[in-house]
Amino acid sequence: MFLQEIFSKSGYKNIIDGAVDENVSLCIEYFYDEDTIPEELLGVYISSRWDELFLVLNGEGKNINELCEKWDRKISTFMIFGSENKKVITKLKYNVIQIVLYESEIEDRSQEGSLNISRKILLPSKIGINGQVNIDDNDALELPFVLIPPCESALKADVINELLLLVPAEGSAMEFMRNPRKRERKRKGEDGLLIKSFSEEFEQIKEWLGENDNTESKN
Amino acid sequence: MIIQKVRIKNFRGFYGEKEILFDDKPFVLLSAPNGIGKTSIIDAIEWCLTGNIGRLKLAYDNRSTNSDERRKNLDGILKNKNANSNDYVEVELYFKDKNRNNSLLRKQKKDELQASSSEVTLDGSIEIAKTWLQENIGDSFYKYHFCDIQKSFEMQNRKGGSLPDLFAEFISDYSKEKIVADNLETYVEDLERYREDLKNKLIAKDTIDAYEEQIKKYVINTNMVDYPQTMFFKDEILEISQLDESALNHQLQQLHSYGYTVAYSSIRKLVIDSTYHNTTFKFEEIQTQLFEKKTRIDEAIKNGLETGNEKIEELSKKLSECRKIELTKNNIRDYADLIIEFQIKGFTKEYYEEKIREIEKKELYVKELDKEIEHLTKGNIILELFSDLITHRQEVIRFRERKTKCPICGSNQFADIEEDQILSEADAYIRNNNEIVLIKSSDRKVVWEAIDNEYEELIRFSKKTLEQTIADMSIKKNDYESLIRETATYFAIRDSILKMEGIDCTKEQLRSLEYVSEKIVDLKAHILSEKEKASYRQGYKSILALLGYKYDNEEEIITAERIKEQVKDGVEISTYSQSVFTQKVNAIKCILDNKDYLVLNEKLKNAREINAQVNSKNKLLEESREIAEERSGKIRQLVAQLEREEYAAVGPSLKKYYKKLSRIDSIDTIDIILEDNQISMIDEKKKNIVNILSNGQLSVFMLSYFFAGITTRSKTEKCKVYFVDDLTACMDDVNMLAFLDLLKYQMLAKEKTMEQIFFVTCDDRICRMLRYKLEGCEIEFCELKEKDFA
Repeated sequence: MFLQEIFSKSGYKNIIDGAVDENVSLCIEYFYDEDTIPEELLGVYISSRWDELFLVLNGEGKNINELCEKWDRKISTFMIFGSENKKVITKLKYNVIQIVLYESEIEDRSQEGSLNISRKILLPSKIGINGQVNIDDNDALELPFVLIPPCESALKADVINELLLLVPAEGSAMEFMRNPRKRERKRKGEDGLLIKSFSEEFEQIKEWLGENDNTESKN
Repeated sequence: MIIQKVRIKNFRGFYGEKEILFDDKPFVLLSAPNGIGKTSIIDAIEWCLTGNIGRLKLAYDNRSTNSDERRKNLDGILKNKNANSNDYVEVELYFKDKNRNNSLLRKQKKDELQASSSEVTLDGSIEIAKTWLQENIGDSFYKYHFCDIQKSFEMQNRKGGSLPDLFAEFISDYSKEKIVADNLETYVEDLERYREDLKNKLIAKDTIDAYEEQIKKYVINTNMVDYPQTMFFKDEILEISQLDESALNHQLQQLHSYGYTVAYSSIRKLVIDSTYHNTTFKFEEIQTQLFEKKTRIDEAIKNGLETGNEKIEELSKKLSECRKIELTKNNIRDYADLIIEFQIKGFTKEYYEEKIREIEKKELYVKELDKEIEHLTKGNIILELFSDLITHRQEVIRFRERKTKCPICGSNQFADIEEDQILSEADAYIRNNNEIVLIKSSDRKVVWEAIDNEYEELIRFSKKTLEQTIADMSIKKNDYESLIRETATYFAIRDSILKMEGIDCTKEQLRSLEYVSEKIVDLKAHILSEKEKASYRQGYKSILALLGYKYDNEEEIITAERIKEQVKDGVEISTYSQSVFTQKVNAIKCILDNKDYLVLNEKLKNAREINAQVNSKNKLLEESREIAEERSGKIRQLVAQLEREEYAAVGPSLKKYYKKLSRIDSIDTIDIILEDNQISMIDEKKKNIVNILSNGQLSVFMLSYFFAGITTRSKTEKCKVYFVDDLTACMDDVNMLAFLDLLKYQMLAKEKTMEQIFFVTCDDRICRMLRYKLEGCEIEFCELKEKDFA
């Protein structure tokens, strides 16, 4: 799965490509290094409601802490001077997230626990020659806006129905079977016969089992 | 489903009535300091939907270890402390479900947490409420819909070993199904007890063997007659030693019927033979009659005399009537038809009608004359006038002396005519009229005489005819009487033959000598020989003697009728043998006469029956046991399968949520495994996850489990309303931010797993952040603050 597609499908636009409404009037130059796009900056994605900003950074081979701190500074500046539209800046204020991509294993992931200026998410990925960022489906779930899909076939309706057929329904004449019954020990009554746990309902259970058995046989 | 409003009365911290509006918003933020009643609001919603408050019930159960504690701990668990004992606790939920507005009201007087103590109605109906709650809320509402501090603490305080019990709450509740399986096993135990009771009723094999041995000895010692093994009839039991007294009597009865059937067969042959004899005799008599009187018989038939004296009686009656007739002028017409019927020469219908016509013609003429005479004599005014004038002739003459003109025509000559000429014309008229009357009267007399003559002639001829007829009839009567006397015997025999059953012939055939002769030959061919008759007679008599039949000086046909009732239909008697039959009857009688043998046999039979009944009941119990065991096994198998599947499905989801919420992910996989009714939650290295997580991580884990449960059940869950109550205590900022984002994105999702969420917190920082997030993404929410709970 390509990261660019994930953003696109979720309604995010890369403002580096200039694909953003003029009303938003963001000065993304504050993210540049002396008028050039930093080589680690792969995209600046804004949500359709202009309330979230995702900076996609290539962290491969870099010191993650230094990279994150550098970009926190840039974000901080952007939050002061990034737009004349203060409403937009206010909405974005606590919703800027650094997505730091890496291929090689990272030992120090402490940046993930830092909320200083922005939240940081480290994502394993592979960057293609054409700039497409390939990302594993499970890793993509770490992006906050990617929803975890419902588990399929978690509860099998046919098995539940089969189970329902085997137990007495609530409110039926056999409802007593749904309540715990004290088990009799092996002792005899005055008539010399062994005392049963279901002495009164015994025939009823026998009949119910017989009926149910026949129904199942027919089915 | 969206809860729009809740009305609360005397519920926990709320005394009196209170209404809280949620403004149809999908997100309800309850933010106020502790003790204001935030949690009570969501408790009220839960109580209204379930009749229970999960978090309180959990705590109540934990701290109440005996009945005294349970009673004390109940105070104020549901009802406001200021409400009195007769006041009701009421919670009414107003909600929108599938675009329909509903109101669910639950109320209860007792201060306790028992769903059965409250009454619940949906839009006023108890039944509808019951069905709706069953379909939409179920038994696991607290388990799936609440994520509260109670559960979080519970998780943090639990030791690793007991933790799986808590996680078990996140799957469906199969406790009822398990109870059914338990009860089925209890039932199986009962079955075993019944079988044990039955076993005690069994008659021991030794006892049965002893009975059999004694019977064998008895048979040998008493020289009992063997029952022949040739089967006479269906259902005959050849091993009669197995039969009890009742069955023996029944078989003897059957044998008797069989004997009667055989005897009846013989005696019937004899009765039929007798019939052939009688019939042959009658045909021979008919033959004799035809030889001697064939012509007279034909004559009698021709004259319709075969029915006896009817014809004679008819003739006699006619004769008597004729003799009584006395013909006159007045009644000749009445008898005319009868006399014509006699057809005596000359007195024909034409003759009679001619005569009558003559008479009537004359009578008509007389009538005309009468009319004319009457006309001439009576009612002739001119005649009367002229007669008066003649009578007063002198007065007319005197009148002429005074007047000269005629008073009638006014003629002047009236005065000049002679006196004797006066009224001469009137006089002439009167004389002339009288002469005509005399002539007519004379004619009338002549015609009357002619009529009398005609009548006289007709009557004379009629009398002669009648006398001739009477004479003829007398002769005929004598002839008929003679004919009947001669043929009476023939007709009597003929009629008796025609009435006989099985003799299929007609009257015409019985007039044919040839037919009758052939018939005699045919009948004689059926008659039994004397030897045959003797054999049949001996056969039936010996059977009846054995059966004790008592004769009553009766003919064989009567005996046949009497024993017919005992005959069995459809019995094949070709295998019958007198000696075998006798031996069979004797064999049965021999046993029946031995009471000791019968008693022994009865005991043996009873013992066998008891054992058969016990075994039969045992078999039924065994069958039921198999079904019950199979059923309980199947229930447990399906429950285990469902639980396994639910746990297995929750594991991966749980891992995904945990990964999303936790900044430090030290677990690669989470597997939840159910084995031997024990749940284990392990990582990729089979380590118990609970043991390797910190308290804070456990709290996040708990939250992950909450979301995993929601996602897992999203397709089956009907009430997608969830409650999150102040569980952020152990979570760090990253966890919190991830959690709030998760909530936000769940609310924004197209296919919603959550339709409404109630978020309770007293943390102002979280409130602000949540507000900021919700406003940023334009999720509508309703915020209830301290003032709203007042």
